[in-house]
Amino acid sequence: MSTSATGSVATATGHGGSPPTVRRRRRNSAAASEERAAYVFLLPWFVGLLFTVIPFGVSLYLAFTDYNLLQSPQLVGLENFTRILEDPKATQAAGVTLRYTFIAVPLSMISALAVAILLNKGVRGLKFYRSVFYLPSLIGASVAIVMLWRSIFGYDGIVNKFLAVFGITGPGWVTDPDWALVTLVTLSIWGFGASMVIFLAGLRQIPVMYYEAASVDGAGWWRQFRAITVPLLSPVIFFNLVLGLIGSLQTFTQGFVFSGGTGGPAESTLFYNLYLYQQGFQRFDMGYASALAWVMFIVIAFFTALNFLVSKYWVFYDD
Amino acid sequence: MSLPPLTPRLTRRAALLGAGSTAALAGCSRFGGSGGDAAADGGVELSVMAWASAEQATMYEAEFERFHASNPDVTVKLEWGDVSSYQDKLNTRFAAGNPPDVMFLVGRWLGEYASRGALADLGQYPDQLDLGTLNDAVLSGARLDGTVYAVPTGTTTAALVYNKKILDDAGLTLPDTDTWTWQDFHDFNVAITQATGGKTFGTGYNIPWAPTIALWAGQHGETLYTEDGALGLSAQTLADYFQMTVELRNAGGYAPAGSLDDQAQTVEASPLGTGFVASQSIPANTFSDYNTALDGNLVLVRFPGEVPTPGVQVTPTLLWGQASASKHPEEAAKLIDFLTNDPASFETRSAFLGVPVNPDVAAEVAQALPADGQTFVDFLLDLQEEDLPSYYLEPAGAGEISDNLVSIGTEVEFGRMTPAEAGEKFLADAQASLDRASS
Repeated sequence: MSTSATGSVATATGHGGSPPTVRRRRRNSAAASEERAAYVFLLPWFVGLLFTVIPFGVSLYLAFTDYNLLQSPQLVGLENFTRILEDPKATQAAGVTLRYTFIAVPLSMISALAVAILLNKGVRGLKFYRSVFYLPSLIGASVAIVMLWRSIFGYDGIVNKFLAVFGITGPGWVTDPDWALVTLVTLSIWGFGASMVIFLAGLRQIPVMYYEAASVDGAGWWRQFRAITVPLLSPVIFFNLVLGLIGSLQTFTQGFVFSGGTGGPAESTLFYNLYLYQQGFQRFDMGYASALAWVMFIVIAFFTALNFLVSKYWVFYDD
Repeated sequence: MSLPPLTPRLTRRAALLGAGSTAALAGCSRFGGSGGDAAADGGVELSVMAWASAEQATMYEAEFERFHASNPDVTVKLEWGDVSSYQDKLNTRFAAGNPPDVMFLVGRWLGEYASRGALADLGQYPDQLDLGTLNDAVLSGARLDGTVYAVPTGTTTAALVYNKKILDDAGLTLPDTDTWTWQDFHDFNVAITQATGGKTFGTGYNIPWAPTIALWAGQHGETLYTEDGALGLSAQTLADYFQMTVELRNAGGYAPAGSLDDQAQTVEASPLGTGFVASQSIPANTFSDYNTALDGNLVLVRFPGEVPTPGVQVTPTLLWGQASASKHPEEAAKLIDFLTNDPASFETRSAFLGVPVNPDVAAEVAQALPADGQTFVDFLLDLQEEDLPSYYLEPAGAGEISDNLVSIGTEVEFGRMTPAEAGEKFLADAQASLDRASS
């Protein structure tokens, strides 16, 4: 970009004929045409952006209306937003989502880090293990896997049959309101592979000489972990944490497929996103669903901002 | 000076750009593809939306062919799909201003569509659609504020099925199911569980199912919804109902908490099909499907407690509705008339969608039914001879109330809520749903 700016100044003030000016003019038109080409190639993405930005705007408008798809939207001001505060199901949904997120994300990250450290010790067949652990995170949120998970943990499923061998009568992992969310948290933790791969990459970037120096000084494993691994890995931890939080707070597929769209035994798997979907596409209360969506956006933005603010106290970048 | 180094790059880039934009344009046109609904030969084309399996769709299409044969200038196009996404698709069509002319409706939704002006007043087409032949009690389930908004495809009722093979193997016989009490029901189911050593539980009937609760209400002199769309059920009556189920479960007559998965499965894989329970509640018109899957071992019986005050209702299975925005209202009304009053339209589907609401047609259809269909029709016709409580159109908000019932039922099932608390909570939530839906 800066090349083209100086190039245009040169062509404006210089006269054609002297080699430097010609070279700059050639570079200017080359750079400019590169830029133009870049924009043309990006054009499909810009067009796609319309499919995101326009619904955003319409949703913001609808959040202030009462719209049931059968009649045109009626403006109702802040009524939808005050309704969220008074709606016990919205509170329940928020509770379920927050509980799920603040249990699943830390446990998932701890598992990912633990396995990454184990693999980093130089296991034979590292590539194989890495792929095997990564695979669940690719397919974990898919409809087929959630259905499979549900039948594995069903009353007559494999898990209960296995427990019966030891004489334990397993609960209704899927039908008991106390256990349904636990089953879904387990599914989420099973998909730790994506974070693990990133942790592994981060671990490999820590120079071995730090560890060598620390063991020479007599530092034990835990001390080394606390003083070397965690600080040097903190950017990666931060990255996984932010993405994990944002993703977890928006969980939908697992809740929908697991409970058949109902929010599970007695609303125990009523994720916020699922409640939003129910209000919008089963109750056809589009105005309220839009308001719920914008509140979710604000909450997620809040958590992300909080994360970034707090990060300067614990995340160390090399520069 | 020429720019030879640049030319090859530009050419490759241009080629890439060209290829890319052609592909993008081709993709765009694919999205716009379907949708041509201009009728051929200048005749009228009606669109009908229904949920169906592939076999059922062929059944409906055969009937529409018959309609076309007697009305050559009207063609009927059936749009069918899975039941789970039906309501989404229907509402999207309404929102887009392009609703189907005729459609399936569930009684529970009817209030919501009718009160929002989405459905046509079917009384406006007396020349095309004859409503006079229909039983008034039947039409009351489709009437809002005196206007008829839909016509039932047929009638059905809530019933129980028992697996006779399990009963015979256990050496038990059903008591007289026309007069049996809830206590008899309790004792019999407990006996089944004991006789099979706990391998098969007496019953796994759907506790929070609205028709069952409506019939309990009727037996106790109340009603789930009144004629003007208010709640007619008291907290105490519902608490008594849940208390009955708690006692049944504790005594072992009902399957244990959490053992019945409520997600849809095939009949063969369901608790009834695997012999985990000996009885189940079903809409009576589905009897033939269940009985075929269970090799003819089922008997269709009434719910207990119907004496002295019967509470069971004869309800529409489904309803045919017509969009108020339909461009061909007279032809659509004619189609609904064909589907209701013309025996020819029942040749393929017979009593699959319920007993025909036109008594003459019902009598004619009843003459040529397969065995299970005959069982169902006889069952229902016997029922209709009694003085049963009327079924009124469910008010807007009924869908949410049904969902709340399921939720409350689960809480009671796992002992997280006492029956008394359940009754109170249901009443409070249901009233809130009705208030919100009517505002």
